[in-house]
Amino acid sequence: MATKVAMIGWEYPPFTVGGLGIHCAMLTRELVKGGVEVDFYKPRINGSPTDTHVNFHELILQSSVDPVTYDLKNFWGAVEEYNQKLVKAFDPSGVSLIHCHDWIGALAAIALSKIHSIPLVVTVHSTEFDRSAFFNPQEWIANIERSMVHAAKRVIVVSGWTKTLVCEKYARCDGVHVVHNGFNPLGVHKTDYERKGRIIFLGRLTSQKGPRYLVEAARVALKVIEFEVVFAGSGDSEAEIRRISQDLGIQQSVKLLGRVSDKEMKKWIVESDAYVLPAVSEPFGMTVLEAMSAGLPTIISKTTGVGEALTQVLKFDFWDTLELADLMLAIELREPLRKTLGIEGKEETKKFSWEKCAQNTLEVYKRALSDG
Amino acid sequence: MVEHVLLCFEVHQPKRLARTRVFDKSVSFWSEEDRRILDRVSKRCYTQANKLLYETQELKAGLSISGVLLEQLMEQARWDVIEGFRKLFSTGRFEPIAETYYHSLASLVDTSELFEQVGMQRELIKRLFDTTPTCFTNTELIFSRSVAKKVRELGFKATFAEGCAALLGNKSPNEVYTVDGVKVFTRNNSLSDDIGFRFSDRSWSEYPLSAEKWARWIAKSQGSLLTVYIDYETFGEHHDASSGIFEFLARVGKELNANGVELLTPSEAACLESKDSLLAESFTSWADVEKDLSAWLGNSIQKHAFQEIYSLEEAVKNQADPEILRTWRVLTESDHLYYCSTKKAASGEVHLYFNPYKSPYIAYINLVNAVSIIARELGF
Repeated sequence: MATKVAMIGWEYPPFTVGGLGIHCAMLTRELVKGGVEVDFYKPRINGSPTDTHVNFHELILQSSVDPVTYDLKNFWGAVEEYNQKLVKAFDPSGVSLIHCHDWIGALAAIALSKIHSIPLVVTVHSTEFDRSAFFNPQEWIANIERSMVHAAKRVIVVSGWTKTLVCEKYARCDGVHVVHNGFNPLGVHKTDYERKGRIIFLGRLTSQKGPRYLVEAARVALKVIEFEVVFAGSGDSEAEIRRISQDLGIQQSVKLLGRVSDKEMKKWIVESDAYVLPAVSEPFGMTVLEAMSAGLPTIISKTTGVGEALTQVLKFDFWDTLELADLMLAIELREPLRKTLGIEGKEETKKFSWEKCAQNTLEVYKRALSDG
Repeated sequence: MVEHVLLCFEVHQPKRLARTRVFDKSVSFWSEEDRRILDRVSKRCYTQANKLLYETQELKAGLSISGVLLEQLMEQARWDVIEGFRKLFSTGRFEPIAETYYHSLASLVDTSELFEQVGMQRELIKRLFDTTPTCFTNTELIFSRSVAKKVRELGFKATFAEGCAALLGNKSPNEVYTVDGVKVFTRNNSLSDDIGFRFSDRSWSEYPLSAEKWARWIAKSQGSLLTVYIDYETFGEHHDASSGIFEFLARVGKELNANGVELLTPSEAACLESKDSLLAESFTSWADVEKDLSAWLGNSIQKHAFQEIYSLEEAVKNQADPEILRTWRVLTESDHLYYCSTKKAASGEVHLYFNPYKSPYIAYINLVNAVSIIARELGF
């Protein structure tokens, strides 16, 4: 398909916070392989990408970013400045489609689509309702997301779970396509399933990811057998987790590592019995696939998007701490379960790839272009 | 041309475990689910099929009914279904076949459990239907030389096995064989699966299957006895009534007769001469495409749960607490292990169809947790 897509993003490797930047890098790589030309718009924050397969249009922000180091000083200011500059800097020549990722550049994307009469496709990687765990979602961000999904010819969501949210919360129920992410295997593999006495949580410690439910479940399970719960990641729930662990009297069994390097994370994965993600609402959950691909047994909440495509995992309702406690005990008590789940889970991740993700994205492009 | 046909039905519903947590005080069963399924199957299959068989004079068959199904029918006061079976057996055209009370894998361990479970089923059949089976079906047609030896010790005239290559080599399934002095009827899996699996499959080149066509295939086969063994739930449950499965059953006896093929009861078939003997060195069964034990003991969680269950047998029996013994025996149902299969593709789909938890891992966790709870009750 000889198409030129103007992609509107925010972060890009190596300067990334979440899965969005990785998604953009891997998706564009595969799209370019498929003959699509990509103009990629982003602000310069921290540093510049080194990739060369796309045409980067890096916008220099003035008031909200440090002029020398490009460190982010003011997130909200940066968002506003980015949108303003995007509208001015946009080069529409030859562009047949605008593809916007999430809400940050969405106001500019909506305006540009109108001004230049170029169809808009948006990908919803997460909604404000996910990020706030349904507790006090910020109205103005939700409004941007609502406008964005209605301005788009076609909407891509990362899971059926997100599709449901987009329909229920933003009243956009047609032209919404589920495209599962790919993932990059970590390159480490569990080689034995001897009991390590350790359950691990990977990712940001925010209420969205439900870390407190893991602590509450651990209190029940620790009455049966000793093990430790390790939180690898940082976030605004850290203090709360520390306090709850103390209140429940299990602080000796709960370890908070803060943010860990990739190398450390790999070490923890190999040295754990299971990965638990008790997310209240996780649109996809790339870390689930990463952990599984290393052969680590995985326990996830039913409100974790990627779970809809997985059978070789244990699933529970995030609030059901007795259930989670029993699943963790099963992992700690039964070696054959660790082994079978680990091996079968690893096999199951093979059906996810960025190539497949790009193919499905291209299908959505085709539909958006033929919508008229 | 085939001279005789032996038609047999397996009639079984398990007691399913509730979501059982390791810290629960006692083992609990999922009685609402059991009741829901028993009601549905009674309505869609048992009552209808019993009536149809009774009224269709040309039909003869054997029915292996598990004790745990009869027990559930009594507990839930489905006396209409039990009465239906009793009427069938009173005609003499239908006979009960012995099996383990719990549809278990007790034949795979060298303890007295197999003998006790077969005795329990035999007693219940005698009490409810005033008749005693002469032939024995091991769970899901699991068979080997070691099983044959136990069947002989149990005093049965004949038993059943899957007519697969692992057992027969190049020999025809449509004959009577002997293994270690016991007569063996080998199931014709192709003609059985035509009804059991393919009957309502619209993508099958032979769809729709009429009784006339199927009877012609039977008549065209060679041998002295062609054995067809399928789940009784084939009628109305696995294949909906709208598929025409009951009309098929109503006509098939007539069509076989028209082709000069005679239907036999199991005890009549047991009077036929054996044509040859078989070695039966490895285990075979009618399950999955593998036709071996892998449906129940194919992966490490299944093997582990199996060992855990039978490792308690001696202690459970020494304790002599009837309630604990009864609970432990329900855990020996092969169904629990069947749900723990992690097979993929076509076999995997069948396992998942029956799995009430839709996850092999939850099935395993419930099962081994239940074993742990019993072990705790025994003071371990």
